[in-house]
Amino acid sequence: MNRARFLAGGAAVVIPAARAPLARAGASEGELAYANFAIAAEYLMADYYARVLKAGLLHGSARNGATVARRNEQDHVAALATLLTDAGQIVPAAEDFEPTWPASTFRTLGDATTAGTRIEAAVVGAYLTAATTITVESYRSLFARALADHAQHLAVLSWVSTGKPVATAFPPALDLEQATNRLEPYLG
Amino acid sequence: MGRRLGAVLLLAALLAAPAGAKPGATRLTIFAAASLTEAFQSFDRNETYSFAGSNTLAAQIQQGAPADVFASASPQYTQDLYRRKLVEKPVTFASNRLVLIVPKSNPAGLTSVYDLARKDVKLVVAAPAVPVGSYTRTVLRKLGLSSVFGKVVSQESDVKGVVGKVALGQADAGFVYVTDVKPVAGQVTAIRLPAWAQPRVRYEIAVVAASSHKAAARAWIKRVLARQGQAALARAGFGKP
Repeated sequence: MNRARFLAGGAAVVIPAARAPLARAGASEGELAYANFAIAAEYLMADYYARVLKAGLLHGSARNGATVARRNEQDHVAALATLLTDAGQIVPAAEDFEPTWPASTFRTLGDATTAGTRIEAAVVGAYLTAATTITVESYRSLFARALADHAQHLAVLSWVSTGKPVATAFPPALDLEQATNRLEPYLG
Repeated sequence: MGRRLGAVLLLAALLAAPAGAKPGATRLTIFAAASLTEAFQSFDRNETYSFAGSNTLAAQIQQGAPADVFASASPQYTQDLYRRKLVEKPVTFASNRLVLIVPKSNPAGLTSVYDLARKDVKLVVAAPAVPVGSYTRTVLRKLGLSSVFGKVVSQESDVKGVVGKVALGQADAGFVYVTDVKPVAGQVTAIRLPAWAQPRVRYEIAVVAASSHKAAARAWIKRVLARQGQAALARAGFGKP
């Protein structure tokens, strides 16, 4: 992913203090693994929405929804970057990942929403586990809030593809390995 | 008799000269990371190579070993030598990725890096000072799997040591570069590591300041960076700089 393209949405990788849950040292290595996974997932989704918008597959309020979703992902990246920096970790850049989208992904609206739904569902599943198992309050809060955003993104994709914005209750929680397996085909 | 001796000497000279070497051409001494062995040898057989862990080679250069070019698997060593004015300004020329390898017979039944935490395994890694050893630690830390270091049975001085132990079945698994798999593809199986846990593996190359063949060394580096060199690296599985 090109860093310039990632930033082209207008959102700098700086998040207002009021919106950034300040993560302090104290997270375990296993908890930080969720943050490392998450930042890659957010870069991937930001790239996804950029490509969906560029492909001109969405119109009207659906397009607006994708635009906001993309901005959300950029905000999530910024918050996760703060978290990782505070924990003394190297923050990966957008160009560290080269998404490998299958050739047909952005050819039709159906193909695009299928891929988007698959990834958003994996992210929701991983964040559910993170929000319920991580012991550090600030980390839990970040994942819970980002989870709420991704659930909305999932609703937009569901609405666009099936006309039904609300999916079945209780989406499955995924551990890191399960979520990773679902994202790997796209992460390159 | 004289003619026969001349013929023998000519034959000896031909045998001593590497294939394709131009008569009178400078033969460079290249110190290169062990992971570059196959790529560099396929790119240019006419030089004298010393392949080892980048940390070992950097230490040898510091001690005055006669090298013309230094190619490191981590910027850490080239940059350190540059700060000490022991090499010219380094440039990045390739990238790489890590994989987990298991013997073809896969006695521990590993299918994922997460299995290392679940199963009783004998793991082999490179020592922390070796770039691949440092990268291995980064990967495991990012995955939240540092606890598997309790299963390490051997720490090798370079990546080829890790490859050898796994290929010979002396360990159940080891972390190596993806480029190390091809030469032993019949003996090991590679297991992908999650892209999000991959470290940033960058190779740097520089002319050694004490080299007495600096112009030739600079020209050689230029060839590595040019299409032919990059193609050889790509064939070996290396990524773009």
